Amino acid sequence: MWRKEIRLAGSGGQGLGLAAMVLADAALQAGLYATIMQSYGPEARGGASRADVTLSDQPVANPWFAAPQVLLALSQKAWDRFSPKLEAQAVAIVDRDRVRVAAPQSAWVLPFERTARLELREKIVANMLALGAVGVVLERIPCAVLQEAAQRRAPKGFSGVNRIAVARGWELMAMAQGGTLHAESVGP
Amino acid sequence: MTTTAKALLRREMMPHILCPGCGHGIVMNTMLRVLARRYDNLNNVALVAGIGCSSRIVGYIDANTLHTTHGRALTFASGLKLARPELKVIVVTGDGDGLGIGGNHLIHAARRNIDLTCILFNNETYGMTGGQLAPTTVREAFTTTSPAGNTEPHFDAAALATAAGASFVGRGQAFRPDALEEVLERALDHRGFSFVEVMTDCTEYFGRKNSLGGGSDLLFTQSRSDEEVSRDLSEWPSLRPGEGWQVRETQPIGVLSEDSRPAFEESLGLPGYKRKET
Amino acid sequence: MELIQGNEACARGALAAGLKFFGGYPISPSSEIAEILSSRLPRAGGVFVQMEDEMASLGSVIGASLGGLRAMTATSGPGFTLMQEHLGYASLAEIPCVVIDVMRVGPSTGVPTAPSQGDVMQARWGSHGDRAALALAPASVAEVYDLTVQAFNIADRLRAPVVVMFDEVIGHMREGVELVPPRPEDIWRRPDPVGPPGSGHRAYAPNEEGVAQMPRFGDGYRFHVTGLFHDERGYPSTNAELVRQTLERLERKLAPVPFWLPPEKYRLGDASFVFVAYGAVSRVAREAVDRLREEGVAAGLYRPRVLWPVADAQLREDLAGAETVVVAELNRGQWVDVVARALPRSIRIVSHGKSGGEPVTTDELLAAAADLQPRSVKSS
Repeated sequence: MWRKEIRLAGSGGQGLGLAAMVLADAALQAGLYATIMQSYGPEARGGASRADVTLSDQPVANPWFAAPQVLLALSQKAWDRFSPKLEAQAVAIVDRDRVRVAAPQSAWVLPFERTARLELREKIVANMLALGAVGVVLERIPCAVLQEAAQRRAPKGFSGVNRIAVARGWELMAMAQGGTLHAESVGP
Repeated sequence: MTTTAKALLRREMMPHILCPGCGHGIVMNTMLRVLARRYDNLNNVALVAGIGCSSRIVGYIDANTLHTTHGRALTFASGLKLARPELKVIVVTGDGDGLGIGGNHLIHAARRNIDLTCILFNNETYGMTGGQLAPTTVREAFTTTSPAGNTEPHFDAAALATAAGASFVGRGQAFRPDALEEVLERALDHRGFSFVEVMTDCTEYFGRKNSLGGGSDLLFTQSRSDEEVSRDLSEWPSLRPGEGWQVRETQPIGVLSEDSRPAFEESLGLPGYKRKET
Repeated sequence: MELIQGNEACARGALAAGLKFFGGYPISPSSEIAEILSSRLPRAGGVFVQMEDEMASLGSVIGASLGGLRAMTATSGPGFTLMQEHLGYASLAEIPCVVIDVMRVGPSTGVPTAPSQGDVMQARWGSHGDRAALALAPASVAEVYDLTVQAFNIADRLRAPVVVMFDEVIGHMREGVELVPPRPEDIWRRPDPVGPPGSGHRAYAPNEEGVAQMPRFGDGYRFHVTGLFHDERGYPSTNAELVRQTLERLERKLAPVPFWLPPEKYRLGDASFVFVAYGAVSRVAREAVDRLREEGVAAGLYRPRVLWPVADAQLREDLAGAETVVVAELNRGQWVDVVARALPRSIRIVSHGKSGGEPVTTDELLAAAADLQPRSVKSS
């Protein structure tokens, strides 16, 4: 049985709920099973909100987990709160301009927000860039499927830029893995 | 008259539970006379009540009758009215039922201005459970749970309903069924939340505990000594107390406030309540 | 395939079943149901009203139901407690209605709003008196939809309040589902009134299923509804024999429900080691069964979809082949008492309860199984 638990974390308004929907949607398209558990209420509005996505090739029995196998953190608070629970083999991905990763922790440190702002002229699509990066490490969902889902779920006027953002995020992660992108913190 | 008060009674429910001398019978009779004048039968009238002596009377009337839980009659009535806006829904409650345990529902029904008529029988005590202190019991009155006299201030039910937003508020007395009849007619004509407080006495407990005499003595204590008999009503003869009658402090009767803001049903656009063109 | 939440599935199931009135009061983790219905119910020709508290919510629902509408409210533990008096009222006065309880950790305000299955006994005994209770327990988003539809059907056919209870995990989780709306012939109706309209109508004369055949208010049948024990006309009575017969009838009329919605029996045929679990816990129990089977343990799952009433004889028959039964619940052990009462003493019954607001996990159940089945598990 293949099963991956992914936590998308950040602060309220960074679009992590939407990212979770896109990811789960794409997983369904790719023939996987998916569940989402999302924080809500005061927690969702604070600095460490999260959406937990579980993907599997079998029906998901339990959508709840204490520590994910993949953590995406787009805010320092989210990183500080969720990274201590990570197990050694977990993969962490953070935004370079938002999160400082201190030794002995390690993470893929990628410039999501900066790329969104400078290249795509839409700071708000940092979530889709990050999602593209997450897609790479999952190894089960093709980039095109993730792009389609991002387009389908896009708010009005964002379908094009969402597609590009996912692809760009995918590329950033692939470059980092291949050693052609400088990542400040050592990758896992 | 379209029918008679007697014809609207469920006689197979008799005998009723009210005590000899209780003012509730007079109020019920007044209600029946008003209903008999307005309807051939009560197919389209629902009477909804809570728990207590006054609430029992809905069962004696040949209508769609709903005897609910303590204090919550207005909530059942609200659901029924919103489900069947064509029905005339009348809530019968007491002071303990409507102001004690059910006070929250009273203020919210008034705030919504839902098109119901709520008739609150105020006998200043919990009669059915044995004459305990009510939120309407006046200071210094004796009840079975205020053996040394009540130390709490009481609610003015009509003022409370007005403050909460009831668009029609009236008060009547068992002592003056003539004036009460007019107040009830006006309340039933009103579109929106109409609230009528009726002063009606409990001889068995409140009367006895406070040495106010039997049924008729107690009624006469409701009489007003000198001021206006009624507010905003037709001319009714004044009934002044004779020499030596004990008179309690009473409050004005009649139509105390009335306005025509939209009923809740209108805001929801329910059938029969289409929003008026403005 | 859609990706929706349990709470949304509940609201949509209710609409598909013909919901026309919702009276509710906000409380996590059930509020999404009210939020969704506040926009969708008026568009479907129904009435949504936010009441002043939970007693008012269920009161308004009962009133609307007497007016003939399919009516519902939704709440969580603290609100469910406040609704108990009106659940009792609806049982005795035989008013159809649906109450959704999305369970969180209690008692009192407890842990807002971590998941729990702590209201199981409250659904059974929360209201005073010997009330006959009806409660359904869906275990997936799709089943929340289906059982919400069925709750309305059962409520109408049996003229009784039906509780649909699931924990916060089921309420808030999203999963991919394909919802199948009921066909018109899948919708059950209330029994038709017998006898002519007019005064003294015998609204509480039971049909052959033991169900009162009440008309709705305002159709010319003038009758009395009360929370007092009453005769066939609805008139109050204190006759002890009448009280006994009424209680017996109200219990008897619910008896078919566990057969209408039978339990799920997963790999139960030859199972000697059986998990009994409902709601979210049953999902991990199923996974545990698969893992145990891989290790050679004859494991199975018995998942009731109806928690109340219980068909004792059926439960006994279904679990007759078990040697060990582990009742896994997200509470300190509630439904385990039902199982223990129904099964013979020869079967070992173990309560695996968990409280604190964290869901039961597959690994926990496997660890429990290892403790209870030392040979077969450790030999694999």
